[in-house]
Amino acid sequence: METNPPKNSEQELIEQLQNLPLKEVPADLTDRVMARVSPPKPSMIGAVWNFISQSQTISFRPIYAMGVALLILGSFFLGQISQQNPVQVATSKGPESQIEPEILENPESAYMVGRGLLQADNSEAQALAFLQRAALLAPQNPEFAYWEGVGHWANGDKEGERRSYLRGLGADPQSVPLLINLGHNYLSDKNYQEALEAYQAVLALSPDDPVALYNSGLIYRALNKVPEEISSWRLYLEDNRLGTKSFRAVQRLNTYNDYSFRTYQVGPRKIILNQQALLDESLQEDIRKEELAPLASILEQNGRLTLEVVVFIENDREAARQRAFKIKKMISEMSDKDINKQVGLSWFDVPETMRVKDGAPAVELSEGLLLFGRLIKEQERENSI
Amino acid sequence: MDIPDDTLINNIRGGDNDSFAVIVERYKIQIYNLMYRYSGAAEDAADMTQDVFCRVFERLGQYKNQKSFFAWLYTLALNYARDWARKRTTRERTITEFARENITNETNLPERILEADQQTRGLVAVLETLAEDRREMVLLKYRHERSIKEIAEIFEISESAVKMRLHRALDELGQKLKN
Repeated sequence: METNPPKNSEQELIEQLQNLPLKEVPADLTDRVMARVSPPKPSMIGAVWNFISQSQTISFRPIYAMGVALLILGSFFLGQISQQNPVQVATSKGPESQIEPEILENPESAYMVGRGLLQADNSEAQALAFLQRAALLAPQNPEFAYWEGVGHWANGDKEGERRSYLRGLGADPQSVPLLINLGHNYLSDKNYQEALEAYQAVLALSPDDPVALYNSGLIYRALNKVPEEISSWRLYLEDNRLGTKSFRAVQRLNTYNDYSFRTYQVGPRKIILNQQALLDESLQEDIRKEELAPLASILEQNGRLTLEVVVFIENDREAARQRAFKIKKMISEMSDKDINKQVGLSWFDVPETMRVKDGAPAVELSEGLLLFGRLIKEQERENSI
Repeated sequence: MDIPDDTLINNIRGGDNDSFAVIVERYKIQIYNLMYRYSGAAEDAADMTQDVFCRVFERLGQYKNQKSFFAWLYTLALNYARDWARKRTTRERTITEFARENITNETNLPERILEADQQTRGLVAVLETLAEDRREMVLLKYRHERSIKEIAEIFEISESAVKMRLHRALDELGQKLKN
């Protein structure tokens, strides 16, 4: 028989629930929401320029889009169908099921219907039939080959997917989307070498491509090629500092005791900084300032936040002091507000010790930069006054 | 004194967007934490929270006062989080996760030391094992101190059913914690 916990333990449980720690909300969240719901109104010319110069995101319901596409195509088909024998309808679930791909002679039409069906739920097989039709009618079109491959993927046919991409690449060997998806296809089958070749081909065309860089890192990791893996994470992190994958890249890098990039918790935000760049005195100041920009922004947005900058340089206390002051100066110079007083400094002539789990020996960095934020509670503020 | 939600909503409908900022400030903790429970990542949770509030703003016209504003907002957020979780089995995620490994290193940040104590972590872990609805009800009731009526509105069940489920959820939590 089930037994209930005694009343007092239930009360304790409720108290524990009441005191559960909550995740801190990013300080700028309200601003970000408000910027989205009420963007500043540009001038007429500005609005036109924004429209033509920026990529546009169209929000739509696939079912409506499909309906519109079918409506447009309907008039076109009517002309075609009226000149052919009546087509036997297989099922009568919806308008899309009443069109057989084979009746379409225009590859664009088949492609459009296929794309529309691909967005709809449970229509993958029908979508593929149309996308195959488009590819059949225009075999040299790399875009059709790409989407035919995606159609195969949506139907769980990896081999068909790969064939489509390879055919598309025959027509356009420098198509980044085809190469990327070919890499994904090989990777999902753990064909690491082939996947790597596809991603490397992407990087030859587009050296900063984040997906190719990241997945190359994963493959090198799987192949146990540590130097190449480290190099991939570093390259990835040069331009990508936001999102789960960036944090994973840092963690993986740190796993190899490479702390060129580190994750820092500054108040409510977790940020990734290039420690190596920040401690490198020979590097141009502009580059180092760019690295520090997020810190200045965080401090600007939250006057109750203090940033502690701690520099470690083994056996050189003076150098540690100078670098700490330099970092503070650069942060302060990046803001019009008086954030100087929000930055605290410490410096040590000992190596920074990194805590390592699982009983592994601690790692010592002869040069290290530790940053952390602290929120001043109202009460502390009053006390200090 | 806090301005009631319905007054703020009337202001927003009248074109006062600043009132919406008050709404965001008022409920962002609950919504962000809800999103965090579904995504497990701060960055995703922040993006999701933004999306939810933008949807709320766009759909304010549909809010008819038939339930409390918080219940309406939370229902919308819960549906969004469930959709998000369902869609996250995307290709990218599959690929990203195929080589997921245990992270063994951790930097020596002072705030790590301040992590929740073992008891709290145990409770969080056990909460994760509860059925989704029960977990959310427990957190709404005890952590966010929402009324039984509001919880009933969110989950579209009777108030007595909420009480019953809360009681069972506490039982389950207690048993699991004992073990």
